[in-house]
This record gives sequence, C-alpha cells and structure tokens, in this order.
Amino acid sequence: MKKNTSKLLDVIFENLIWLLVAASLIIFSSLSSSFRAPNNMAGLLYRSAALGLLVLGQSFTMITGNFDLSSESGLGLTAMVAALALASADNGGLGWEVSPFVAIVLMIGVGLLIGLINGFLITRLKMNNLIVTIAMQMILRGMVYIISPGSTASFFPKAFDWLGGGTLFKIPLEKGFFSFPVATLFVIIVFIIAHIITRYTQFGRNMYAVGSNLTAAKDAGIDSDRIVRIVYLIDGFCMALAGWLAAGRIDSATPRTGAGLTFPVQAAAVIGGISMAGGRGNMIGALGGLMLWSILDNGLSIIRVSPFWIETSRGLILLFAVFLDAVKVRQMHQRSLIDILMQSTIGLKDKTIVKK
Amino acid sequence: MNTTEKVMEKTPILSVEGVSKAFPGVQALTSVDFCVMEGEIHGLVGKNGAGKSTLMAILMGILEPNEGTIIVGDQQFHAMSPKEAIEKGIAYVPQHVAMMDSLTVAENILAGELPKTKMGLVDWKRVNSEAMERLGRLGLEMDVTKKVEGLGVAEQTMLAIAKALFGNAKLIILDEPTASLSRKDINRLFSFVKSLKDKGGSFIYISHHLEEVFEICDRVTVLRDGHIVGTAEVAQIDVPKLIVMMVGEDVEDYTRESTCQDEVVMELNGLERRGFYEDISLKLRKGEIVGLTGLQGCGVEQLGKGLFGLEPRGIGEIVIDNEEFTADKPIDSFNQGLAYLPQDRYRYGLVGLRSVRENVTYPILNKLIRLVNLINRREEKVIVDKFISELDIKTPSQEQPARLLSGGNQQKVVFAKLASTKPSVLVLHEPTQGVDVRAKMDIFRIIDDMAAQGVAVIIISTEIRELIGVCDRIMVMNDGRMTDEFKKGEKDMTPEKILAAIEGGKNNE
Amino acid sequence: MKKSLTILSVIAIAAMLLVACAAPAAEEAAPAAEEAAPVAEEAAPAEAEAVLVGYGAPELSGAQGQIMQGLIDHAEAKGWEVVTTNADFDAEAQANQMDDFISQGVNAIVTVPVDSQAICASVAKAQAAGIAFYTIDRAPIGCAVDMTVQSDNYLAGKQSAEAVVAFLTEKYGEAKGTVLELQGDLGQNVAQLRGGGFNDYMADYPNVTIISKPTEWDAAKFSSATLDVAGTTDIDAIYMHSDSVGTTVVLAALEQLGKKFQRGEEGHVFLAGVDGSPDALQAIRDGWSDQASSQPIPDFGIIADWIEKKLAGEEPTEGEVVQEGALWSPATIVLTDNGYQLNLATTSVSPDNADSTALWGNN
Repeated sequence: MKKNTSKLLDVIFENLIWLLVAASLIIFSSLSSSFRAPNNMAGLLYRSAALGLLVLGQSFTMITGNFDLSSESGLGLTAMVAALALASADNGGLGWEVSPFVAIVLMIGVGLLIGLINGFLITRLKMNNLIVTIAMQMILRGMVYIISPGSTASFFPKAFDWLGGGTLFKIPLEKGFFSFPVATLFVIIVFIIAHIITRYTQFGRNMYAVGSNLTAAKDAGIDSDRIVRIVYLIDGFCMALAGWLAAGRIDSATPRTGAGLTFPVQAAAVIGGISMAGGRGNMIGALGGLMLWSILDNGLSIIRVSPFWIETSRGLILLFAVFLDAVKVRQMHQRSLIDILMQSTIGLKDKTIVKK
Repeated sequence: MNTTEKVMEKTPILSVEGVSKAFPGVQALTSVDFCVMEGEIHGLVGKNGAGKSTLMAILMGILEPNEGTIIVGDQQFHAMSPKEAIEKGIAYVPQHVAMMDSLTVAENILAGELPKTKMGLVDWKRVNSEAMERLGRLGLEMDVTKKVEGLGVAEQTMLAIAKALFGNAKLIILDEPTASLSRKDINRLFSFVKSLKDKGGSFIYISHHLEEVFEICDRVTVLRDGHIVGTAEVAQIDVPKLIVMMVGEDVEDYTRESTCQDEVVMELNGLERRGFYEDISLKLRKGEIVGLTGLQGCGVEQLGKGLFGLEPRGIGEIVIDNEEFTADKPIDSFNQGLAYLPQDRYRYGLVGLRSVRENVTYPILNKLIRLVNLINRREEKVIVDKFISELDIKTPSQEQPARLLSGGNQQKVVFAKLASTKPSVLVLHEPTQGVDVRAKMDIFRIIDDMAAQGVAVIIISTEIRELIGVCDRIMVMNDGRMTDEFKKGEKDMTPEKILAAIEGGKNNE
Repeated sequence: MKKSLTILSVIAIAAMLLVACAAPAAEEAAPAAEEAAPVAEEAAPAEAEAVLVGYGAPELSGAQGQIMQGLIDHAEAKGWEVVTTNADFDAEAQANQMDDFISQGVNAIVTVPVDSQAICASVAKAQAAGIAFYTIDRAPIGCAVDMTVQSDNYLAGKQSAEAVVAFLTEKYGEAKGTVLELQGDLGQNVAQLRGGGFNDYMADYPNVTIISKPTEWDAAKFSSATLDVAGTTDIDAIYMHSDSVGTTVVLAALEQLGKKFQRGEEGHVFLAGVDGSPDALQAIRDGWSDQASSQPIPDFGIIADWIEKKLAGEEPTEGEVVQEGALWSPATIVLTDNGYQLNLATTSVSPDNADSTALWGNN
C-alpha cells in the first residue's frame, strides 16, 4: 500500500517535467491565439536550438557528476571561427570564403579541441571541473574577441545557414505558409540519439555508474577518467553544433554570440531532471526542460508580459528547479548522514586515519 | 585458546603472521596472528579502537603493515595493494555498501559488462534475465529492475555479497552487517550467508552483537588494544567469557573521591524516542559523575546525541539549572549549559586543519566579539593559554593545526573547547577511546577537576572498569530502558555484576 | 505497460486540473486587455483596428530608455499599441523577440539593432511575413529596411565645425590654428559622416590644421590620443566624434597636461563634440566644454508618422522634411542600399542653450 503510493510519487516526480510542459502549453494556448498558431509552435524548438545543444552537452557532463560552464563561450568561439572563414572581408570575415563544408569541419575541430582540453585538465591534472570550465569560459570568450576582433562577421552561404535558419518544408495556409524549421527537427533527432546513447550503450550506462557512485563504478572495473574525457569530447562536439545553429540562425556571429547562456543551460538541464549531484536524469527529460524554457520565453513574451517580469519569472523557474534538485539530493544526503552515524559504531578512528 | 584438530584439517584461505601497525601516537596492532579457513565464518570481535578496522584495512591492501606477512592461498605478501587483494579474492562489504544507487539492481550486478545486441546497444532484456539468473544461482530472489536506492539495507548487503561473489571473491569481510537490521532481516541475511558457506564461501564477520557471533560463526577471534587475545571455537565458549576477553583486566584503575553535592543540576523526565529509548528519567547532582553503559544498540548512544541535539531527541522534559532545556542544535545546547564530547572526535569534535586556538574558542566566539564583528584576540589568547596549561596540552603553539597533535592531546583540546563554554552538564561519549594509557589518566584527572568545580558529568562508555573507577553511579541500559543502577561504594559495583546486567537484558529476550 | 498507463492517467488528470485553473486565469486576462483597448479607441476613433507595433530595445539604460519612450509617446498619440522587449545586448535574444513579434502579427516592427548585421536575418523573416520593419539610430548592414531614423550625423559634424571656426575667428581675428579631431570607428557610417560634415566645412579654412586620430569609440584611446597630441603640440580646439565617450576622459587628459582651463581663461582649449550626452552638457554649463551637437533622441519616435503612411500604402519620398519649431527640423530623407534613411537635424548646443529641457541630455 505504502510502497504503491511511493512508486506513484516516483513516477510523477520522474515525469514532472512533461506535466509542466503540458501545463504551460495549455495555459499559453488558452491565453493567446498567437501562441497556438502552428508557426509559433513549430518555432519553439527552433528558437532555442543552440541552447538545446548546450543543454545536451551539459547533461552528458552532469550525468557523470561534472559540470561544464564553458559551453557558452565554446559556442561563441566555434561560431566565430566558422564565420570568419566563411564571410567575405566586407562583412567582417577574413575573406577566405571557404565552402560551408570546410567551415563546419573547422568548427567541429575547434569544439572537439575544447572538449579535449577540458577533459585533460579535469581527468589528467585532476583539476576541479567547475573552476576549469569557468576559466575556459573566460579564455574562450577572450579568444572570440581576439580573433574577431570585436566585430561581427555575417552573411554566409545558404547551405551553412540551412541547419540553423532554414525551412524544411512549407505548407500553404489560408494566410501565408506553415513553415517547419530544420532546426526543430534537428534538435529532436539529436536528443533521440543522445537518449539512445545514454540508455542503450555500454558507454552511456557507464556514465551513470560514474556519476552515481564513483567508487562503486571503479570497483566494477569502469575506467571513469576515460568516460569523463569522452563526455567532455561529446560536450565539445555539442558546442560546435550549437555554434553552427546559432550562426546559421542569425546569419552572423557576433563577439557576444552565446554569452549569458550558461544559466539558461544549467536551468533547462536541471528543470529537465538532470541532477546536479550526478547519476540521475535522462535526455528525454532534458529535452522537456529545454521545451519548458522555450515555451516560457516565447509564451510570456507573446502574452506581453513586461521584459522585467520575464527575467524575474526565469529566476523563479531556476529556483524551482534547484529546489527540486535539492529535494532529490537531500533524500540521498539523509541516507549518507545516517550511514555516518551508523558507522561510528566501529572504530571510525582507524578509518579516518586511513583517509589521511 | 587452541585451535582444534578438526579445523586444522581444513586449508587456511588466509593467514596473517606477526603483523604490527603503528600510527603516530597509537600502536594499532602488535604482532597479530590470525587465520581464516576455507568454508568458515570467522567472527572478529573487540571494542571500538581494538584494531579491527586496521587489521581489515591491511587485509584489503589499503594499509601497509610495519611488519609481518600476509599469506593468501599459496602466495606470501608483506603488504598487498588493493588491486592484489581483489585479485586474491578478498572482498569487503561495509555496513552501508557503496552502490550505484540510482541504477537498477541488474545494472549494479552487470556494471561494466552489460550484454549487448547485435547492433552494439545494451540489451535490457538480457541484462535483466542474466542478473536474475546469476542471483538465482546464489538462491537470491530480487526484483532486478528496481533501483538500488529502493532496496532495504539487508537486500543491499546481500546484493553486495552476491556482487563480490560474481567477482570471484573467496573471502568476504562483513563489517557490522546487522547494525541497522530488524530481526527478520537478520535471519534472512544469516540464512543467505550460511547457504553460501555451505557452498564453500569463507567470511570474516565483524560484529558488536556477541549473540550473533554465536549464532553464525564457527570460530571467533578477540582483539584488544591491538593484540590478539585469542581465537576460539564458538561451541567451546560463552558470552560472558567472550566479554571478559574483550574487556580485559589489565586496565590501570583510576580512583577518585566523590565530589557529589546535594543540589540537582539536571533532571530528565520521561524522555522517549521511539525505536531508540523510552522512559528515561534521571536526576544529576552538582559534581556528580554518572556512567551510562549498555550493549551496542541499547539506545545509550542516541540518548547522548539526542541530549546534545545531534539527533532528534523525541519527547520528554529536561531541566538544567532550573530552566527547561529546549536546545535542538549543538550551539544552543552550549548556550543552555550542556556540552558534549563526541565519540568520533575527528568528524565532530575537532576541525583538524584549524589551529588549537580556533578549536578551543569556536563555541564561545560570540562572547569574544568586540566592536561589530572583531574578535578580541588578546582575550582569546589568554583563555586558550589557560586551558593549554591547565589541561597540560602538549602543543608547540596555539596556532598548531589540531590534527598534528597526538590522540590524547587532541582529546584534551576537545575538552578545553567544552570547558570554555562553562557548562553545567558535560556529556562524554567514549572519552578514552583511541588514547594511550597516560593520556587516559590525564583525561580522568580533567573530568575529576571539572566535577570538583561542580560540573555534572555523564559518561557514555563501554569501558566498564574505567566507569567503575571514575563514576559515582553507573546506569545500565537495555533495549532503550534504564534497567539497573550501581552506586559507588556498594558491593554490587563490580565488572562481573555490571556485565551480567548488560548481558542480562539480551538474554531475557 | 502498467507504468505507462499510470503516467498517462497522471498526465491526463493534471492537464484537466490545469485547464480548470487556466480558464479563469484567461478570463481574468481578457478584461484587462479590453480595458486597454478603449483608451486607444478614444485617442484615435477613426482607426477601426488598433495598430500594433513591436519595439525591440537592445538594452534599457540611459539614452535607450529615452528612445523607447519617444517611440511609445508618438505611437500612443496615434492610438496605437506598442509591445516592448529588451534584448539585453544579446543578438540572438533579439532574433527571438523579432520572431515573437511576427507570431503576434504586429503591423510593424521597430528596433534598435543589437547588431547591425545580425538583424538582417530577422528583417528577411519579417518581410516574408509582410511586416514593415524599421530601425532607429543604426541602419542595418547587408539588408534593406523600410526606413531607418537617425541623427543627421553630417549636419552634426558641420555644426561643431561652425562653432570651432567661430571660436578661432574670435581668438585670432581669423580662422587659423590647430584642431584635434578624435574620430570614431571609421569602418562605420556614423563616424564617416561625423568626420565628413566637420572636414568638409573646415576645408574652406585652409589656415586651420586638423590632426585626426582614430579611437574606435574607445575611451582609453580618446585619452591617449589627447595626451599624445596635446602634449606635443599647442592645440586650440578638440572635436570629438562622441562626447558621451570622450568628454570625461579628454578633460582628465588635459588636466594631466596642465592644459585644462575654463572658458575665458588664457589657454582654454575649445571642446566640441557630437551626441549631447549629460556629461557634455554639464561640462558646457561648468565652462569646461563649449559645444555639443545634440542628437534628437526623443524625436526618433516620429518614425511613427512614416509607419502610418506605410500602413496606408504610401512610400516615402526623398528630399527635405520641414516642420516649424521642431528641434529635428529640417530633416532629410535619402534612399540607400539599406533602405530609406530619415536623418533628423541635430541641435547645436552652446552655453546659451545648454539648460534647455528639450535636449535629451537634460532628461
């Protein structure tokens, strides 16, 4: 009896994000006809596609119990690298005007390099992941300003913009067209792939093992450092894809592209149930977190809530997300506190010395 | 304690010869000989700090002994690495096992070797069926799709044992596995362990519950102060004998004159916390020293922590200095006249990295604050100096990090901290644990001095001989109730009678 | 199976509850919207359907707040409704906000672009949706909008030049001497025009030497250029392409060189600049500075007049626009690659009119 209710609660808790997504969709749709217009709906993921890729990378790192606060600058740097290579000298580029393919390869290379450096510093040099990535955020942003230098590069070939700004298909409506953005589909596909990786591959499960209990994972013979390194590589790859989406979206890369995304990224991941303590959450949940963020961003704007209130509401949502996370962590923490008290019955003295 | 012929026939799976290990200030193990046979459950008992954990750490390859050899199978080591220990099939199952909590039972079993489909993706059906099949071989039935965090403690322990066996463990060390289990769960765990023994598994079983040792073990070894007191077949020994082996008779006695005054300082009325203790009523007088003792799990520990506010206290009334004591967290307890010395001073009593000075004045800092938020350093220094000389704390300076002091001096620093709050009531939890004999005497002297100054002292301890030496009264707790009272000067106050009272409750069950 | 059923039922129940809660909320919101509407109708009874304008601010501090208020005032005077957003310097956020305007079906979008190039993607989208697009203060680069309203930067340069010439003539009896020109980012149209207006006028006075130093709008470079030039040469006047960036740092540099004197004192360096920032106006009142070509920032809102024409199907015509008594008059309309540009006259501020409340720097 008691077990059943707690199981039900578990199920609700695990899927809370989709309840919130459904609720916000219903509320905004009932408040505004502009919101429920097909074009607006299809644009929900399009508008936050770049954010979504960062959320994805962040979710990978968070599942292993790490963080990445550098991704916003990683996005900025990869976007700027591609933009400089693509744009003509008149439009702020270097005038190389490379083909979109070359630019994409280039930016993915930069993204992977960022991931490689992050992973190296964190696993090989055992530096704190939080501080490493904060430092990288500053370094990478600085590099954007150095290479740009400080100005915007714009106007790329259509093929490059297709992913971030293109339209997949158009259906004529009574008034105008319903156009379905490429980025919307892309984000969904990428999240499904990520879901498959995390749920159905040995590597994915090892990620959870590492994030859930590092010691136990090592005991099971999992090379945790290798897992974390690969995770940061994936994260770097995601930054590059995000950079591609962002640059394509506005057909430009500004020196500030991506700046300030760290908190939305964090918020969307945590709202989506990715625990800050590691080992918990799934990619479908993270997609839900992204959706909710997007819906609120778009919905509040459309029902003409003042810009100041939008900012406030974002803060409240973030608080709510961290609260949920804290509830989860507290559950675990209570257990470990009990552990400590229980363990104090057998010569903890010795164990403490062992630790030193 | 001779090993019998019958056991000698079996082959030892592990033996330890002449192992010693010293830490700064503490000789943890002194030429220990110890041997576990194949297909045996070997009990290991001893009081806190007797050296059980050190010995286990050496077996697991975490600590390197100063001298001695370890023989596993046919291979001889001076010291093993953790990796070698695992390769040799030694597995450790702690009281609370480290598992990947948010993952399922099946994943925990198959971590690192999940079955895959042809596409290279994880084959969840096979993960679950294989996990179930493996558990089945050991006679364990469990919902393998359940997350580990949803399992009970007994199941987690059994799962950990199973996991160790899947990893080809030959010798499994069970460290206090029943401490938080119900009787029903204990029975399940025991029958599981016994069934594994019948299949040839070997175990070292560490426990404070002596009757459990008799229930499950074949032989038992007693450790005391780092020495092996002896090894015995459980069939040839009983609980009182075992207790005598554990407690020993070589403790130097401390004696003191009673400083008990008439005025009541503290009164407990009907204190009750369900599942831990009930109906606790006690009057403490100025300068009185009262010992509280009992078996592990009798509730005396929780009572001490509850008084101080480290754990919930439950219901009931407490009066200190004629005022109701309402504190529910440590800092309030200090302010309302109650100070507590925790058993595990490393975790709760001391901030090892910080200086002696900071450790002493931490609870009274707000009394030292002058002008907005500045600490009066001169006054602080005077206070600390006074304690260093009064308690004879051996430290190069006030600024020495506390962790660099020896065990006895660390304990004195904690005492100084407690004394600095000028408490009316002092609750001490195993105050002499992990300190050498000389320091023990110093600590008794400190307790004595404080009592002489009118402080009422409660000592929670299993060191019965020490309690007899220092206490005016000794209360024995059984299953959360105070069952017996021994008064100084009465002829009943002997170790044997008290031990009988402690064990008595258990035997009546 | 059982699990998914549970999930489904939970979602269904929650959804029902939410609809129940949301419905009254929607009803509450509706009257609020209606309340706003009658006000609009009173102001413009002729309008059958209220015009909705989306305004995207790049940020909301200082002058940007005045630009936004100016637009709202002009639009509300016509009985229109304005939806405002704030991109907070983020070009992507601005793109999202432009999308939201399109979703809301606004009649026109007005924005101060965070980035002149990045805004083009949004311009294309709006135009595809048939929505008129206007920018304020900055023309887009790389695409064309319906109209950009901005200061007549050429005129601003010319106004400063006139003041400098008047000063030199008074000082030496004829227009001669040395002038330091602190240029903005010459890659930008704005700086080119502010420089052009100044130098074209000064070309008539060959005895005046002009030393030009680029600064890229960077306060540190304003300072170093002043130190370099004024430290080695005797200069009579300084012309700054932006007095909001330059006034404080240039005065500090002069002080460092011992060349900071008040108006009327021996050795006073004449200070002129474009913008008319609060700093500059205060310096003029205090006697340290002398002239500012003040931008008609609150008047940028008159773009509403051209939006109105556009909605009525009327295209702008090139030429001069005059309105008696208006500070921004005379204005000019020119057609460029980036669409029509409405250049509003700047106001030359001297010590005589530095207190005028019509100037944005005094608000």
